[in-house]
Amino acid sequence: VLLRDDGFVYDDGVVARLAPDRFHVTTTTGGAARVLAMMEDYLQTEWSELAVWLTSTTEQWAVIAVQGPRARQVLAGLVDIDLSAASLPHMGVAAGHICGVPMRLFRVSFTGELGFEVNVPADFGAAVWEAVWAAGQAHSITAYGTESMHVLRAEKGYIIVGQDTDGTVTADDAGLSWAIGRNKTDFVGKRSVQRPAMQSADRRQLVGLLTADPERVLEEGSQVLAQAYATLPVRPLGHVTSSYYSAALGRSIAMALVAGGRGRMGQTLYVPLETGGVAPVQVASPVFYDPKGARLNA
Amino acid sequence: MPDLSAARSPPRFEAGPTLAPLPPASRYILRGGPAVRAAAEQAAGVGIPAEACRAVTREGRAALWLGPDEWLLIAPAAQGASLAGQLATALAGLPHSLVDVGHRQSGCELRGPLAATLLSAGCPLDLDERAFPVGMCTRTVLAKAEVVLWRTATETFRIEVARSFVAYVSEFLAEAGRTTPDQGLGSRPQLETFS
Repeated sequence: VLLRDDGFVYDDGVVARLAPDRFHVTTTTGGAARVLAMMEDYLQTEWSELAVWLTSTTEQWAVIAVQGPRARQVLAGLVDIDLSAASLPHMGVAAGHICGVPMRLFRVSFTGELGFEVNVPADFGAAVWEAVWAAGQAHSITAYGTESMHVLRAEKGYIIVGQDTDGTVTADDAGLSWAIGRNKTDFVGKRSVQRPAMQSADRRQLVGLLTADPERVLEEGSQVLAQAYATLPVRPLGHVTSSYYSAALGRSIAMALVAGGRGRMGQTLYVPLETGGVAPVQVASPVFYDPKGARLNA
Repeated sequence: MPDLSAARSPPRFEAGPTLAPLPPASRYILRGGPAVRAAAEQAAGVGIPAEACRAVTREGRAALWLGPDEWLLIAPAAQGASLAGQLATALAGLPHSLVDVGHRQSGCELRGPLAATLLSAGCPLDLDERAFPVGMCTRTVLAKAEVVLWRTATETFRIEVARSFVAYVSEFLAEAGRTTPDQGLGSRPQLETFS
């Protein structure tokens, strides 16, 4: 997770260490240019003594996400890398070949399933896609698009920066404290996140919401209230950031930023509906599916 | 397992009847200080310019100055692996960065007496040969695309652009050609491509 100097979440992505002095950094889809610019800014102004250089490789690589319980079987016959969990665990990276094409293989997942992201030089993208597609036919492979990806990631409580965050959300608010290196002497935003107001228990925190009616899908952007009916004006506790029907769970799911949300687990809150009335919702963990990560680490 | 090691599908410039695609090139971005520049020269097989905005060529290889610590190295596609290996050996122990950008960008060549006029439809630089002589290169813009522009001969420019802008640059130059008066200078510029 990348913070601005004000301590709020700016972007997220995967950082792979390829060598002691070499990193492959990914960002949100639209965030690469501004992240590169921010790093270049710090390099030229704050840390100009560092022998570090940044090169944009967004257009160098074509990336194919192969995700699902049979992802390993689909790729196994195409690559010269040992794909076993022992050799390439979740968040591992390896260099090798796929069908003779140079590849950086990331074992990462934005779906919550066992998954790999196949990185090949861009000119090879189409041919490698066809090879993966052909190998996947025996495993009922399907192409999935952005909307499917959104549902899959929401089932796991994975945030989308800019959707579940809005420039006023700290890493802790978003449930990403685990990604903060507390022993680091400094990082961009550290001073800001240490200020008392940034650690208040009343801050809006990312939680899951489960509607009492499992068929009701909340409108994203809806307000979250403490009472079903209140005299206006009423101060909302927060708002719904992501909302979908989850086929895997057989019910609707939503994520929301709610004041003191992690202290409200199990509470019933209320979401006003466009059509009038309110939907009662129960505050829950935003990790709706496979909370222990057994599928992810398979 | 299919062998796809030759199955490249590079983006193509589509600029006109004189379009002549060339084989893919290998490209690297080299970053580092003066010691890196000096150590890299022999391994690169081409001089690495210390002078700002200048390119050096030798036997099919080119080194373009893009910044005080940044060069674009271009070589025939088949020489990419050996070039990278030789550079890595020569630069071992020196802080530097060598990044393969062979697929990141694509190149085309614009030729003819109207080449500079045509580029001026989208590039704000003074492309008069006194201001932008043969051998000069720079990062600049062509309309909305960031490009590296390199004058390789009086009437020849090489343009390097990110692969997703290839169609845009092609169409921009084609449109500029349709709307640029001939000025009685002879044939229209020709576009040749390097993928």
